[in-house]
Amino acid sequence: MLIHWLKWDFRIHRVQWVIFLLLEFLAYSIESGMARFEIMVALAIIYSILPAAKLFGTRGRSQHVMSRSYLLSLPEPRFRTYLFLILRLQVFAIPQLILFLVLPGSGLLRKSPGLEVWLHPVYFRLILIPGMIWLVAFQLRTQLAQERISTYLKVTERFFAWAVQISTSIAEFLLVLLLAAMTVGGWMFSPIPHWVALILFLGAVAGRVWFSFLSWRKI
Amino acid sequence: MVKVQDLSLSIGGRVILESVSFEAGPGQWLAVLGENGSGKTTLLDLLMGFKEATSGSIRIFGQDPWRDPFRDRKKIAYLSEKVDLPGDVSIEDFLEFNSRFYPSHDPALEEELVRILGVSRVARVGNLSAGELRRAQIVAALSVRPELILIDEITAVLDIVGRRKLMKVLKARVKEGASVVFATNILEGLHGHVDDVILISKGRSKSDPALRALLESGEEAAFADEVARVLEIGC
Repeated sequence: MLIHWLKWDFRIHRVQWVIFLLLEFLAYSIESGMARFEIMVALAIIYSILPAAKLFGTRGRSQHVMSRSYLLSLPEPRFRTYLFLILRLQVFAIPQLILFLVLPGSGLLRKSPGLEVWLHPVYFRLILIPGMIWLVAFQLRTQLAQERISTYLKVTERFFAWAVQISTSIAEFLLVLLLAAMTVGGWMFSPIPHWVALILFLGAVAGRVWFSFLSWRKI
Repeated sequence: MVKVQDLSLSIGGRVILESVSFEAGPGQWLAVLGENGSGKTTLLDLLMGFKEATSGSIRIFGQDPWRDPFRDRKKIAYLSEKVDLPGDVSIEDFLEFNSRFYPSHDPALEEELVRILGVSRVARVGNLSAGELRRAQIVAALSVRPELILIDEITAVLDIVGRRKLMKVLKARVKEGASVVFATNILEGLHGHVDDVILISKGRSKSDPALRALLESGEEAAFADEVARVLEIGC
């Protein structure tokens, strides 16, 4: 069934894929040196996060987007549908992943000799995919929070809900960023062993994925 | 097939539904009527397992629809105005995509429904009117031979011909043993189809024997007056 979803996604996004690959090719051909890769990575990051809001499904009535009412009405286990959703979104992150995987320690970075001092290439590669999964689940959390706050709460309650939402989002973002830095950091950023930081980082990712699912399955 | 007992739902301290109870067995068509904002859509959301009840119980095919996985969801068709689809695919694409989730999908029945409802397979979802899109969704939902059909007010955007055709195809499914729970604001055409009525007002439900008698007698105007009277008083 995952293949079925992936085919569907490709059918809907084929034009966007062509445009994105053309832009990447243009960036590669026009620029030279490190700026070329910075532009390519920036394009890939933007491309990877764009389809999320569309694929999660909307709660409200919204034309041209598959609604969550439809996704949840399908005769599939909801957790599986949700995991497929996360995986489907990873497809859009493949270009970004490829660029990131070739960057640290590769010939592309010969012009940045100090890189290994602050970036551990092995751990960097290990947290890439979990990091992207966290980003997707975090985006979902934000989208769902917006829906909930604007639906049932009174004006005064909304104010506090937004304050809580924004502060907890920033706190979670900083925590995950810190754990990621401690996992991939060179000697300057390693107050704890890399593997301990990695386990904590993966725990944070798993927690976010699970709690976002609990919100996503409710309309 | 559907058994709801003392169902209540509160969100953020606000009571949405309170002590709602009803049953619908095989081959039974139940209409859920109520004012705008009375809780009909929320009730359907609960039946689909989109929300968790605060108290009370729901059993669909003997199971709680909130549970995941819910193995009998493939027997349920859900028709709602909240079901939206990507605009850049054709109806043919959508029907093919949807059918893959349902082992019971019947291509011959799909073809028949396409013909009855006048759906164009080549039309793009984004170019359809709201009513045309609902017709396509009816084809997708009913061509899998569901045993339970949950409908949340999709008839408001259907024209009179579309509405009558929907009632006709639903009647055929009911004759084959399917159950229908049909939330609507439009009373026209319920006579001769619906077996029972449940009224919802401000989150509370009422099953009125007088309404059932009026349904059976076919007195459409008297039925509408009685519904309005009960809804004005409150359940």
